[in-house]
Amino acid sequence: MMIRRKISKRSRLTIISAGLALVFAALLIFGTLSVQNAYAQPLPREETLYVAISKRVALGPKILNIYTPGFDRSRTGLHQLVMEYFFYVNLETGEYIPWLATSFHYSPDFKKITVNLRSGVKWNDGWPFTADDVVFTYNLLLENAPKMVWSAEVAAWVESIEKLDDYTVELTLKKPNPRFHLIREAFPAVRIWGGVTILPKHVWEGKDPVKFNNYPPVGTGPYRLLSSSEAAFVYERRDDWWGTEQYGVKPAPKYVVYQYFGPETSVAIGLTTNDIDSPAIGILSLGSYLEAKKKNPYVTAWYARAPHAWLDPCPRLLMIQNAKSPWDRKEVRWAISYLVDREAIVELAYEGMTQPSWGLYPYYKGLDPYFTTIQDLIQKYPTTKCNPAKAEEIFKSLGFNKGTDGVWVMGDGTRLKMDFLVDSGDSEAMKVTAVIADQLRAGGIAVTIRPLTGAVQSDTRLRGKWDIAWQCFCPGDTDVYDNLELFHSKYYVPLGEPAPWYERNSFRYKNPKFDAIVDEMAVTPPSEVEKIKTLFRQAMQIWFEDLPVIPLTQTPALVPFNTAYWVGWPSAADPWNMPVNWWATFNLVICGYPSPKTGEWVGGIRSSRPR
Amino acid sequence: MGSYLRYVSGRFAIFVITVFISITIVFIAPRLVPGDPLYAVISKLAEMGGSRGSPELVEEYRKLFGLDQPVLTQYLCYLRELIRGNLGYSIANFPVTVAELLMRSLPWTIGLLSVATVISWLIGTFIGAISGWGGKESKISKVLVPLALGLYTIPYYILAIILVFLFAYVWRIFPISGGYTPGFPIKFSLPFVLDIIKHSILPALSIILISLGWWFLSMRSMIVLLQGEDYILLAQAKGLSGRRILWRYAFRNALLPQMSGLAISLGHIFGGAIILEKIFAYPGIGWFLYSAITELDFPMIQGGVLVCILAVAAANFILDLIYPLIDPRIKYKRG
Amino acid sequence: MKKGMVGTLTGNRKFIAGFIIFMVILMGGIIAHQVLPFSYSRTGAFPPGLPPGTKNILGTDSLGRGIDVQLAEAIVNSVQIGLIAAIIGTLAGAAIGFTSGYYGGMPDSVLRVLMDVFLSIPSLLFLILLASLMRGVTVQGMALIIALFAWAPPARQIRAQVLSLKERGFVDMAMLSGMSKMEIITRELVPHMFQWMGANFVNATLAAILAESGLSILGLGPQNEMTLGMMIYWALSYAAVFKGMWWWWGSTVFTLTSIFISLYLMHLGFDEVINPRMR
Repeated sequence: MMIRRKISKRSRLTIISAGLALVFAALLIFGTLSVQNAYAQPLPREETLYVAISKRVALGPKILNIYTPGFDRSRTGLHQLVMEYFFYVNLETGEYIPWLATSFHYSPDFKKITVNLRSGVKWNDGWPFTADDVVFTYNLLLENAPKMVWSAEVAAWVESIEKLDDYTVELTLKKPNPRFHLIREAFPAVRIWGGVTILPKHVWEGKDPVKFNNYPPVGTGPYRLLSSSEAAFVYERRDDWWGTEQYGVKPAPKYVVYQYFGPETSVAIGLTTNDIDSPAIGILSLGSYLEAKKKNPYVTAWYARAPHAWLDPCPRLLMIQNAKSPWDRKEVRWAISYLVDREAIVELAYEGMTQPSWGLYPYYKGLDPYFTTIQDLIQKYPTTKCNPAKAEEIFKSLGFNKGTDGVWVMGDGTRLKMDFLVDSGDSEAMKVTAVIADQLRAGGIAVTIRPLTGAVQSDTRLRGKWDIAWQCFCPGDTDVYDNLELFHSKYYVPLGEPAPWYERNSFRYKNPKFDAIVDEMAVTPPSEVEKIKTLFRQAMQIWFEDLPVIPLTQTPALVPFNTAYWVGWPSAADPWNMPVNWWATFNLVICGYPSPKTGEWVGGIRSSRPR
Repeated sequence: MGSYLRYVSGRFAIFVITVFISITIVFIAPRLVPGDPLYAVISKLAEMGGSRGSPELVEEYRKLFGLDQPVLTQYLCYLRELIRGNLGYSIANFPVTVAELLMRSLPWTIGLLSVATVISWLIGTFIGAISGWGGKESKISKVLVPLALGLYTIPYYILAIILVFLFAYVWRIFPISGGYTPGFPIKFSLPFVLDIIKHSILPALSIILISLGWWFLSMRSMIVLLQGEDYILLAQAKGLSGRRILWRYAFRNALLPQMSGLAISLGHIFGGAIILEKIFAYPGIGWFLYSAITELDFPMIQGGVLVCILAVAAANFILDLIYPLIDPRIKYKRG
Repeated sequence: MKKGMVGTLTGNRKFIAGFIIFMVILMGGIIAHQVLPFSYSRTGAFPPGLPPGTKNILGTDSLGRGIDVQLAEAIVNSVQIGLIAAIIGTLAGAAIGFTSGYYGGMPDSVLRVLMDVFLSIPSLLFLILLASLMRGVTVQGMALIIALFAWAPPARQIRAQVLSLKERGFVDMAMLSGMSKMEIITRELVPHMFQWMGANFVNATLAAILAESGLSILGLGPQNEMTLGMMIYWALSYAAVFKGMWWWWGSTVFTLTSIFISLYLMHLGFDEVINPRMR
């Protein structure tokens, strides 16, 4: 009986092992066959520019439709290399650079805007770029609002569009708006990052604009897509780009790869081994950057020495829930501001790469004329000062008393406690939150940190179910209006309902006087600088008085570059552009651009190993 | 045989019910979480400051995905589509379908994890058998047991990071990350296969090292346990050589629980290895599932977890089928 | 029978070794937690990134917190999570396993399905989901959600044990001698089960601490209390490995590994007691 069992066991084992082996072989074959298509050989290193992205691209690599909500245009490299815009703003030099359009002007009543397009531009499949494409795109957006991304905003402003001739279009607005050209969600001009872009009519006509996969993507940019997978997008230079044909300019790298290399350590390693030329923002902390720099002299950043980082346009502030008691009292808000030690935040959370900020604007030169009008206000309202004694004074004056556990107790007997919301997926937020929470605890407030992520975090933040939350305030760049508009009560929704977005008054601030000033600024053309300055000062007076949100720090954008293969990167020593590879302006960093002043082509990176 | 068939059909019924209950739980649970999957999608845009027009967009897509319907209606729709084999669109990655996302990432996960698991199992089992037979005092055991213990208990992520640090940086043998070199041809050609293998060695090594300890230790204890069994003593009394006894008798008997352990392990690989994929940037299913969960991408969660559940439940089911055939001691009467 | 088992346990070298290591770490953590000033764990208490020195035995992390203080708190919290989750999981698992194995029939089928469901749903992913549902976790909260998945493996194993015990004739003998079902359970089966439950308990503790660190490393751990997993999270956030801050990640990994080893030694000890041939 044992013998029979032996044999049956042995044959069973053999069968099972053979079966398993076959299965694995099949899986291996299946695996290799089913993976996405690519190019003929690995790319030559001296002709390739490697950009490291911070997260894997979620959307399918064969669906490259910028108007679908999930599409990640900056990590795929699409809106930098393939798509182009009418105008680009160079924040460093203050230039407004014509690209696909050469100029625009408003009608005197600001109800119409006429745009002159550049002639001789070709889509990467050879078709010419004309006014037909612009008209088609706007009509597509209007017809499909609000399904296509930002189409709701377009529909809110644009009444209709008309083709005047092959290279001129005229947009009619629903209401007069002298600032329409600054609305990136409705007009294809890049101030920060990107915005609405023009689609090729001959490709998109008749397709479902949300389900169309747009593969391979047709754009006017200097590169075309060669291959794509979840981890990497490979682009190849094209010869019929308008910059090449009209100015004789060829972008230096023949190939550009946007690739996900892994978490911070892997990117740091890649930078040290010269496998990465340009990591995106938010990957490396200062420590890893310095290590990489120590090991590899080719590694550099905006500043060659401290503070290393470039100035990001989105300063960081601490939102306070104005609709909840006791945060609805401005004295309490000011007290909290006095408890925050910004220098400590800079040192511990940012490793010294940035500086405290007095308000809601990035310290860009373009905004200096406005800042000078409020210097006295900045002195009068010391938002950067840490003064725990003053905070204590304020609490006492409101009738609070310190309990035995060190926590303040208000007049009605309730303890001063707060829920501090933080996105656990955001490393920077976690660090700053940890530091501030301890500072507030030392000041006598019982703080509970609430880490959430993903959809739950969004929902909680929008509905205002928090007392305090760290936040980036993103619109601000060269125009003071956009940041002020965030505080307008038109965005006010009751607690528990979702606000329009995080910085769009999810903190529920309401001040009719402030609203009035902002409303007036909205209809003032940006060219009337003096008037804007006056309004700005009035608005800031109220803002400082009320302090609806608490200023924290400027934001460091640590964007390292590797000069082993490519040189000419923008830096503090040579600030000819912004060092950002996730914004559409990266196009200009790679290729350079026609200077609006001289008309000559300037800038662009070069190979450090010319053949 | 009749009772076996009854047993099989009973187990099959349990298999189906298990899967059904699991997918129902997976359907309901994410919907209890207070969060809107569409906000996660808008976040990506708003990250860059392009948040205007969001509320309208959200409303529109909510209708598109049927999220404005009562949960029961959604559930019935889901079941109906599931029977047709339609897993639906992923919310976060619209308009990609769930099926497509799974198809793209599963081969990588299956390929890497199954091969690594099997290799680890083979090495661990064989060495464990030898070590177990040698007894507790043998020199091999004195070295291997603590080693296995150490490998088994070190946290996975630390080991993985150390591997990357050592082998991709200090000694530049392997690539830092990825499934294959970007820009490589995806034909079934030798260079491509070699490229994939090159990229998979570090991740595979990390899995092998971590699980090696477990297979080694469990096989070893099995063998030690069996040393006292009667038929082993009989074989020794008959004068058979130690090695022969080990491989022909003890090993085979110990193999059964080991193989069932392997089957369960293989069933679990469909859950993906989130941390592995994060550290090695490996394009498997774990990363998709993780982001699906945080983004509350319902269809993706349902589809991905369905695959996991099917795999594990299937592994269990197959084991249940095979066991009685192999070990007649187990009775399978019901009640 | 219980006395006999405890006696054999305390005589078992592996168990004792593991137990001693575990208690040393735990006691060390508790004492240090009481002794060291709480302010040392506030961010900015010390200059960041210091290697071990006179004031900070284990150095400081990049946020300026003393690592010794953090480690003490982390040990206490992580072990707490492990023990709570393991107790709930093992007790619940044993109860369910018993019922299922002993009574058989309908209850067995139903409970079997329940066990399979909880074994086949990928636990880490569900833990993530539950952590988001709870709007932020505390140490106790974490223990509870880990316990939710901790009961299934012991239940399965105990059920298998009960089934095999049933075959071995204990039960039939007892029934022949006239004992009621309840008496059989408490007098004959439970003593056997204690050994298995002990082994399971140790395993469950290990698994729970591992699960906690897995969740924490993804950033979903308790934010207001320090755990071993969260320490690793912070170390990774500041790229401590790449920067060579061995005192930070090293001390945490060493502690975690030691805890695991001690628990596993105890598990081996239980194994040897249960199977005398293993000795």
